[in-house]
Amino acid sequence: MAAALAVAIPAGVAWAEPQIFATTANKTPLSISVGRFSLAAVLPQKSGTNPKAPLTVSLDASNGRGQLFFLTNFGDLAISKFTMTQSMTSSNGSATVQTSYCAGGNASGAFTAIDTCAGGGTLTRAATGTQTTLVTVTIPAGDSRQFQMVTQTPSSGKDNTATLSVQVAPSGAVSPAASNS
Amino acid sequence: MASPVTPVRRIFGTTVGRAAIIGAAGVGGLALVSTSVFATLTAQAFNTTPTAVTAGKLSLIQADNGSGFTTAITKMAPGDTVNRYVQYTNDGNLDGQDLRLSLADSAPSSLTNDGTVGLSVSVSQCSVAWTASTGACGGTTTNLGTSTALALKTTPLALPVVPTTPAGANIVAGQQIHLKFSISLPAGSEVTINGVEPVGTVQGKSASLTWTLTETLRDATTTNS
Repeated sequence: MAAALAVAIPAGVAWAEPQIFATTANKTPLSISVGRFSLAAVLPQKSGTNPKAPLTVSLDASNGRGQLFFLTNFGDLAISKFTMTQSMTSSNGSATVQTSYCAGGNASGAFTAIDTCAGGGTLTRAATGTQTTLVTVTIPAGDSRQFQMVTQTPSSGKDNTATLSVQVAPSGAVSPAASNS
Repeated sequence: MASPVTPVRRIFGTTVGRAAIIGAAGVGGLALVSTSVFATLTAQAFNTTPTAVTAGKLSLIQADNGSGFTTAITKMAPGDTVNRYVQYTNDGNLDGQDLRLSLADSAPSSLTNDGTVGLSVSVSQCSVAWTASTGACGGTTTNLGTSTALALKTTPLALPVVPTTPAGANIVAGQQIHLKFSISLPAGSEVTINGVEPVGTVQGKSASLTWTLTETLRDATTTNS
């Protein structure tokens, strides 16, 4: 007795040949982490808590010529350059404020006093008055760099309030990740 | 004195006996004839040496060339590209085709969940082994494809490795494929202002990536020999 087997094939459905695959994968997952670059101005201590805010300094022309402060790298990537934006208001006149740092020397850019660089560094102006400028200074991860903000009209009886903001773009962060390895 | 009917009875008896014998012989003969009709004579031929049939094997293996996928990538910065080199071998005795790359992340973040700010990868092939320390290719370089990590998690990337022929079986048994994976993190708009990272930042994010390559068995063939 013959047996009959009927298989219904829906219209439009083509037979698909079974496919055989071979796969391979890395047994231990590749770990990737992204670093942080975070720069802020802090006053007066070298390190401290990230203020997450601009630095505002009141330079009382009658009480002080300037103020030393630090830019601290709170991230885990070195920063090689950043943008500094300085704005200022004057309650009495238009005295100019300058922000400077010490370049070169052997004291990692430290000051000994206003306008005086330690270790043979050279006083270098970064911003004057209301200005946005790109500063090329390397600040290692977790480290700080000293700066000064001074008024150019000391003892004039004019009060100046200067606000300093710093921002870092990805191009200013230095990644330790090797491009080929 | 003998009865007059006795011969008749003898005759009758003899006739009946003969008929019985003839009948028995007939049945026996028929039985013999029937047996002879259904008997079959057969002859067989077979190969004295069995025909050996073995199934082939399709296998793909990988090996790091340099850091490969083993050494972690740390402190990557937006805008960075890290090249890693991996060598694949069709380790079986069957040819393959249609190499495809897919990705899984066991610790997903925006690095693999975001197609804009997340990771992307470009794959290229060198006809000989890459020099991992420098990224140099001493032979011919072929770009095979680019995709985002997000897309790779759901849509495998076809890698048209060379040679592309013979069609349907271009990854021959024993073939080595030298690949470079360029893993990039877009610069995007990652700008930190006064120590504040932007909203949706990728800074501090991490991923744990498993890269899977799949090859398909060559097209089926019919041979005559």
